[in-house]
Amino acid sequence: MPESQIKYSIGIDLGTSNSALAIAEVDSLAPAYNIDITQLTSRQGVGKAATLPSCIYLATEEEQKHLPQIQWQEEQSYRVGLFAREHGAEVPERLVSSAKSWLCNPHNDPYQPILPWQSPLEERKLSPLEAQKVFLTYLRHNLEHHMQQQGKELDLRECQVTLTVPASFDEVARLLTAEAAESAGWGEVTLLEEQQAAFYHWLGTNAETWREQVRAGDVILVCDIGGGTADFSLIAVTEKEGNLHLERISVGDHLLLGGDNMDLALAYTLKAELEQNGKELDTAQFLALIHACRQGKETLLNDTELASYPISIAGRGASLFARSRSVQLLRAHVEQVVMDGFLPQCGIDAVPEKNSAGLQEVGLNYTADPVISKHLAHFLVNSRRNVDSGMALGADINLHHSHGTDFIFPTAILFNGGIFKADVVRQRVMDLIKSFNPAQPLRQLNNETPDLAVARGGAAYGRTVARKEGIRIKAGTARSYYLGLQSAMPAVPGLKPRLKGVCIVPQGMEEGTELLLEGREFGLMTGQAAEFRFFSSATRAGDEMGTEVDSVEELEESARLEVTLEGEEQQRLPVQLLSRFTELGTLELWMKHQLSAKHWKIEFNLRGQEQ
Amino acid sequence: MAIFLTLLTVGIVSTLFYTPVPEELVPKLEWAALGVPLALLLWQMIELSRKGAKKQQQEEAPAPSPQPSAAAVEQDPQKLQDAAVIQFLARLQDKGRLIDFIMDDMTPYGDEQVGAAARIVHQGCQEVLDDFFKIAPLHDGAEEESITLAPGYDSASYRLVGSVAEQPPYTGVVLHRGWITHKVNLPRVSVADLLEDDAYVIAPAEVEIESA
Repeated sequence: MPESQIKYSIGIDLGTSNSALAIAEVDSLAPAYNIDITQLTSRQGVGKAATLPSCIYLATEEEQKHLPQIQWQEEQSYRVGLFAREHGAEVPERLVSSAKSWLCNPHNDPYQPILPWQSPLEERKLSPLEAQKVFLTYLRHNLEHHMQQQGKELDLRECQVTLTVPASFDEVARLLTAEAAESAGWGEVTLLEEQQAAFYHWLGTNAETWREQVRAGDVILVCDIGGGTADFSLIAVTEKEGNLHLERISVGDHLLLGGDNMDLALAYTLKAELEQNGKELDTAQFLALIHACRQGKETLLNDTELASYPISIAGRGASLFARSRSVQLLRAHVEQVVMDGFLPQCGIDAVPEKNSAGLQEVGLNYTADPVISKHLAHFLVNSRRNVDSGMALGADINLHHSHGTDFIFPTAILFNGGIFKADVVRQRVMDLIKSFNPAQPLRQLNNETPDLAVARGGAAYGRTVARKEGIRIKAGTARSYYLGLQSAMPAVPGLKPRLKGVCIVPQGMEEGTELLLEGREFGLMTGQAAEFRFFSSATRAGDEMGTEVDSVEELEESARLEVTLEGEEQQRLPVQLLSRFTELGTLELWMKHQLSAKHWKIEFNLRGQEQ
Repeated sequence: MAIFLTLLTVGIVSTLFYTPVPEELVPKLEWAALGVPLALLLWQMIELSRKGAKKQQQEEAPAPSPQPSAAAVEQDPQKLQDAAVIQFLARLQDKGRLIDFIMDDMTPYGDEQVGAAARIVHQGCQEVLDDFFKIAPLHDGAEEESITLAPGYDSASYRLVGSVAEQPPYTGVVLHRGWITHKVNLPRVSVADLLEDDAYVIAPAEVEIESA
């Protein structure tokens, strides 16, 4: 399709807790803007909001008759958005939330209907993939409806669609997201890391001045803390022939930890006080308390003069006077719980605690250590390991060490996510990073809309792609990937043959390229499924195609790979492995038979691992 | 009724939104400030509850499926208008417990209890108003400052009292800053909850189902 046909660039921020939609016109350079999302806002009304809570409420048959309908939602058995979140919180067995986090959970099959998690409503459950499809379909209809109201026809063939995913998503989760988008009618979408999207938004809003705001050698930390997740990326500024280049050099782990955890921690603190003289709080009252704590936290963080924020919690019945209870959210609570609990000062050598319990309940893999500071420190140390493993960089960047710990010291921070609306929270993170290297200056890049930047950045990026002009961040795959192969060694009783990793996708493999694993042939039987273990790493930038890692212990295991060579039964074929990273940002693995030039696609086996 | 409730809204807005008073006075003032709209709304509620009473009597019987034809109702602008106001009330009740606050008898309670309840109403109703409107003082300056209104001034924005001449310019003192909303984002109305004989559900009865 000729690029000139592209009229609009659409950015979709498919968030864990909230989603947003933005659009940019391709023939102009006007800033990308958000499209309001029509949704059920209460049990009576349909309204618009800038974001769509990523919640699905499975309505009962009776409810379906009464709840207002969204005119373009064909399926009436559920409701999406604000009403779903508010009402569903009190009916947890009917509420699908955080579906996105299930996509990168290797212990569950994303095609199996498991949500709402642990709900007895077996026949109503959705798979994590279906849930994502629901949101994406909803957003597409909303966009079409919006365009219609503006008197414009939306033809997706005239749109460049960019869907953002966390930088910490592995290739399997990315693939699943692209698949959900396709089944939701978006066609082929381009995937972009959310943290890069936030950076593209900054580039777009500082189009005239960004070259003056950064210089070669800078390393920018994108510090993104949303409602339920935290994600960190480093972007290096390098220089070639007098031009500035941008390169994403490191991404952090997927942390299920965010602003909601802070509200919950505050609510637990106050719950004890409220219950001292009265009855216990029930679910709805506790939800009201969490809500009030969020308001209180924001108020106290934004107005540093205030000493306390009064909270009253109503009883369940109609008598407001007899049954309300009051409590004060003090500044000290916010200081202790939010600032010192989640964002305390810590050393660069701090290591987040891992889940120590041997038997963890199967479910979402919530981050064990809530101290965000430690995760940040750990990320900067891991990033240094990644660069030191042999990354080829276009310019010298700030490498530091302190008390024997090597790390990368960022020279600037771009904050993203709702909690960074408050100056004091941004300042706290600035102080923390500064303390790792007090001698070095640290700047803050301005982000006016930390809750809407990702969708807008996605749209801005899509326009860059469609126009084939403007700066792009060199990124490629965020991780390197490995096949687990058994080492050839003489059998020794009692010793399991060691599994070694062979690199089949180097970190930074660029979009639109493919690599053949040379010098290694696999003899696979036709007509028979062959399975491989599959691993990844975010700290081994130096590995190239075919590099061997002695032990897979230092890698993270991902979904298994499976391939069946179709053909005559029981014939052994020598095949080679071919990796392809598509223009759209998805990974494909193939087995290739040189002589016949036949290809077989290697699939990810997502049925869940038994361990 | 719609006009009446719009006035009521303005009353609530002006009382709930602007309360820079010492901490210990807040309960009393909020209560007092709510008094006027309270009385008016109470009257209105009595009217409504009279209509609702019929419905309560038949609660034991299996509920008839109230499925009015949406198209038929949409043709009746009066009903749509009523439904819009009911929905707004429902929102104020849902988030700010306004109906609970006003329908309850408050005489047996002390200021502390009333104050605690007022906070729930204040915070919740403020959220509703923030969602639906963008409310700001109409007069940019301070109250009690002097103002001159030139010929051609916007007479809808100023209510003149005292000794008012036939023609502007007028010079006077601002007694109240007034309020203006720069946005109206009321949700689209649903009439699915319309019952027979014009009774509307403002807040459904809440029933907790225990797991079997």
